[in-house]
Amino acid sequence: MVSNKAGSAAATISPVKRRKKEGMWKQVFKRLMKDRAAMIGLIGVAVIILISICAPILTSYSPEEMDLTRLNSGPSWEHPMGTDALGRDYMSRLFYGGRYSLVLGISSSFLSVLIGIIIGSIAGYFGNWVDNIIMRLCDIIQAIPGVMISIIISLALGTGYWVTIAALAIGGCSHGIRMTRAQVLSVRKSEYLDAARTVNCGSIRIMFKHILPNTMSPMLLDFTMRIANMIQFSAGLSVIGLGVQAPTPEWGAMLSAGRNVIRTYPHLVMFPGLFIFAISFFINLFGDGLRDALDPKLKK
Amino acid sequence: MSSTDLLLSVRDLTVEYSSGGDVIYAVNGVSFDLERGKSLGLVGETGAGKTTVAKAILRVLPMPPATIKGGTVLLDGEDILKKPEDKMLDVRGQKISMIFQDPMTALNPTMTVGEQIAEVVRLHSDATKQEAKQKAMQMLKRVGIMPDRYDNYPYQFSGGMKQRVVIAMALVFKPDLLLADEPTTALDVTIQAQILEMIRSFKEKFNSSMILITHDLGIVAENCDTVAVIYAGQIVEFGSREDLFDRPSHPYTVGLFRSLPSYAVGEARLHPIEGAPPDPRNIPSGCVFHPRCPRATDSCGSGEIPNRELTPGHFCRCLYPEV
Amino acid sequence: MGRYVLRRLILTAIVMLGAAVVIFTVMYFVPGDPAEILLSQEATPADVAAKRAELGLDQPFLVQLGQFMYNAFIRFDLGTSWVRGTSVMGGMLERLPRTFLLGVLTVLVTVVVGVPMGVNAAIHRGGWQDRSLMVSSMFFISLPEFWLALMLIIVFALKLGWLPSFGIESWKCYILPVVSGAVAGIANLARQSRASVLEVVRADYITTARSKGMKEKLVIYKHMLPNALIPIITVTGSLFARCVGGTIVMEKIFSFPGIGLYMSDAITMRDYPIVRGCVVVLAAFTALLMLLVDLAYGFADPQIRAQYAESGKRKGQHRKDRHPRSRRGEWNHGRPVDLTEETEQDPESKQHSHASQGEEEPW
Repeated sequence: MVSNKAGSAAATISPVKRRKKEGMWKQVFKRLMKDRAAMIGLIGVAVIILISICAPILTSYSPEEMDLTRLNSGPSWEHPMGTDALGRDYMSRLFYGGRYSLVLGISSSFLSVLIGIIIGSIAGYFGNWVDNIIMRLCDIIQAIPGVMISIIISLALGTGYWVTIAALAIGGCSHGIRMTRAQVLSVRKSEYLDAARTVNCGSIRIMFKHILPNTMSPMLLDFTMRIANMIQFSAGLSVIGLGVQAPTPEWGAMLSAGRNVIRTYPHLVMFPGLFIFAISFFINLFGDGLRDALDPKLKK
Repeated sequence: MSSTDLLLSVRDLTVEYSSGGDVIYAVNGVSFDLERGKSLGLVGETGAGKTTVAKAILRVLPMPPATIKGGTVLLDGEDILKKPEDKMLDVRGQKISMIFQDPMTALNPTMTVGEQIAEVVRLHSDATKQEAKQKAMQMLKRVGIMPDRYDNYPYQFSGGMKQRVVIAMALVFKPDLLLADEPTTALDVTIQAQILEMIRSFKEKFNSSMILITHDLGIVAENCDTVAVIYAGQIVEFGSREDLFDRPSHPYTVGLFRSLPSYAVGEARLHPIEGAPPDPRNIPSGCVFHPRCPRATDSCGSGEIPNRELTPGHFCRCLYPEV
Repeated sequence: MGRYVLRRLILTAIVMLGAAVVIFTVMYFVPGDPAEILLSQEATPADVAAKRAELGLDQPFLVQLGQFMYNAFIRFDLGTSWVRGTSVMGGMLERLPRTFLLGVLTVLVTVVVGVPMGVNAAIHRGGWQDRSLMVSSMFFISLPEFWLALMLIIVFALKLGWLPSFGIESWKCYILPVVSGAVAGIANLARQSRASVLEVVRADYITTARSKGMKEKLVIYKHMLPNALIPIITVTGSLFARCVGGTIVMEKIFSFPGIGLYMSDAITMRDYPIVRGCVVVLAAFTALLMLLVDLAYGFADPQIRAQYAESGKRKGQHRKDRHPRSRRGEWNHGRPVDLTEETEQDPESKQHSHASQGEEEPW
C-alpha cells in the first residue's frame, strides 16, 4: 500500500479513519448474520423483490390480459389466485404489482428520510431563527395527523402514482428532521468538530464528513421500517379514493378496488392484503434485527 | 479466634452466569472469614468477581442469568445461602447492608430521597409513617445532609451526596455486616476521603464488620484489617494488612504492588502486569494466573493449586509464592 | 411550572393557528372550481362568476386566508358544505363524539390488554410469556389494520353473521372496529411496555431496593412500574391521537358515521370545506393532546418537572427537543406510534440533568 517513504506519513493518517468505518459496518453486518429472525426477514424481503422482478418468468399471463369469460373467479388451477373484475389473472397482477408497491414504498421512504436529513441538518447547523422557523413548521406538521397531511397534499396534487409518493414523503419527514437536527446539535457541541476546524475544515465539509456518518444508523433504520409503513399508508389512501387507483396494479389499489364485492369475491381483497402483510412482516423482522445490530447495547 | 468473634465465614462460593449460550465463571471457589468489627478489603481488577461475591452473600444477584452453584455462607453460624427467601428479607437491610458503586443510578429517580430512607425503616420495623419520616430525617442529619431535604429528589443532589443517602439507607439498622462495593470509585478524590471517613466512623460506632470492595490499594491500606486479593473469581492471597503490604507473596499481588508508580523512586516507565485478565468464559486450568505469571512452570497449568498458609493467617494460592 | 404551562399553551395555540394556515394554503391549490361544482350543468359563465363572488372566491389569497382564520377561530364557523349547504361545524359536532367514543374504547382496550402483557413478559423474561409475545407481536404489528378489519368482517359478519359490519345501531357495532383497531396497538404497546420494564429491571436502584430487604412483588410495584410506565404515557397519548386522527380509513370500511366517514365522503364528493374544516379541528385536537402528554410527563417524572420549571424562566429556548417526547418516531413496525426503542439519546437532556443540580450544597 505504501510505495515510498515520503508518502508514507500521509498514507498512514487517513487509512485509520477509513478502517474504523469499515469496521463498524462490518461488525453490524456480522451481528445481523447471526440474528436468525433478521435473516428470515431479509430473505423474505428478497424473495418478494425477486418475485416482482421476475414476474414475467413466473406467470404466463400479462397483467393486462383480460379473459372476459372469467370475471372475478376464485382460485383455480389456471388462475392460482383467481381473476379480477376484468378477468385479469390476479396472481400476475399481484406479482407485477410488487414492482409498483415496492418502488412506491422505497422511494417515498427514501425521499422522506432525505428531506429529513437535509432540513434537519440546515436547522441544526445554522441555528437561530432558521432553526426556530423550521422547528415551528415541524411542530405544525406533527400536529396534523400523518394521514391527513398525505390526504390534503394528494387532493392538491391529484391522484396518481408519483404524487402519492410525494404526499407520503412529506407526511413522514418530521421525524427525520428532528432526529437529524438533534444529531447535528450534539455533534456541533462535541470537541472533535473544533479539532476539525483547527485544521481548516470548511462548514459543508464538516457537515458531510463528520455529522452525517453519525446520523446514518438511525436514518438507515428509519428508512427500512418506513417502507412498510408507506405501503400501508398508500393502501389506506387508495381505500379513501386518493392515492393510487385502478388500473395501476399496485397492491393497495387492488385491495381497495375489491372492497365493494368483498361479500361475493373475498379473494380480491385477501390476496393483495396478504402481500402487504408479508412485506410488512419481513421488513419489521429485519428492521428489528437491524436495530439490535446497530446498537447492541439496546438489545433487550 | 473464638467462634463468637467470627461473624462471616464463606466457603467455596461458586457463582456462574449464563449469557447468550455461554457460561461465565464469575466466582470460582471463594473462601474467607471475617471477624466481628473488622473490615476485609476485597481487592481485584474490574471483572474479577468482587461485586458478584458481595451480591451473592446478600443474594441480590439477578437469578435468571446468575446461579449460585455451590458453597456456604455462614452468618453467625447460619448458612444464609440455604435460608428461604422470606427469611432472607429480614437479613437484607438489617443484618447485612450494601452500598453500591454508582451513586448516580443507585437511587430511584421518581421517589424522594427521604421516602427511600423511610422505606427501609418501615420494612424492618412497625414504625408509622410519621415515625419513619422522623427516623429518616435523623439519618439524613447523621450523614451530613440537611433534614429538610427529605422531599428532594435524587437528581437534585451531587454524586457525593447521593452516596451519603445510600449510606444512610444502609446504616439505619446498624447492620452487623456492611458490604461496600467500591463506594468511592465514582467520586472525586476529596469527596472520597469524606465518604470513607464517614463509613469508618459508623463502623466503629456500631462495631459492624465491613467488606470493602475496591481496586484501589491505597484505600485498602487506610481502611482494612484484612485483605483478600481476588483474581478471575478466586482468592489468590489472603492475609492481614501488614502481611499483604509488607510481605506480598502471590505473583499477582506482587505485580499489583510493583505496578503502582512510586513517588519516592524516580520512575522512567510503569511496570504493568503483562497480559490481560482471562475471559471469564474460559478460565485457565490449574492456577488462574499462570498464563501471565513470570514464575509459572508446567505444573502450574493443571491440577488443584493448594491454598498454603505461609504464616498464621496469611494464605497464598500458589506453588511458588514469593517469600 | 406555571410559567412553563403558560408558554406551552401559547405555543400550542400558535401551532394550531399555523396548522390552519398550512392546511388552508395547501387546500387552496386543490383543483376544481367550487362554483362550477355547486351550480348545475346549465349555469352560464356569468352565473359561475356570481357564485364565486358570493363564496368569496374572487378575493386575493390573503384575504381569503384571513376570512377563514377569523371565521374558524373567532366565530367557530368552518364554512358550509358545498354539496349540502350545511354547516361544517355542525356536521362535525354531530359526528365527533362518535369518533371519540370509538377512539376511547380502542385506546382503553389497547392499554388494558397491552400493558399487562408487556410487563408480564418482561418480568418472566425468557419464559413462555416472553417468547410467545415477541413472536406473535411481530405478526400482529405487521397486519394492515384495514385488511384485518376486512378479514374480520368476512368471517364474523358475512360468514358467521355474529356481528354487524356497519352502522352504530347497537353496541355490537363497536366490537369489530375496536378489535381491528386495537390489535396492532396491543402488540406494539406490549412490546414497548416490555422494553421499558426491561430497561428498568437492570437499573441499579432496583438492586438497591432488593438489598433493603423488600419483597420482590413490592419492588415491582413500588419501584419498577412507576418508572417503567412513564414512557408509556407518551405512547398512550399518541395512540389516542392516532385513533381520532387516523380513523378515516376504518370508518369508511365500517361505514361508521364518525368524523372520518364525514371526511372521506367529502373527499369523494369534492366537498372541500368539510375536508378543510375537519383537518383543522383534528390538528388542533392533536396539538392539544401533545400538550397534555407533555404535562402528564412532567407530572410523573420529577426530573422533567424541574426541567419544565427551569425552562419557564429562560426565554426563547426550544424545550421540546430536550424532552423525551421529542424522541417520537412516526413509524413503528409499519404503523405510526410515537415512542421508539431506538431513540436517539437526547443529547441536550443528558447535559442538562447534571446542570440542574443547582441546589448542590457546598462542601
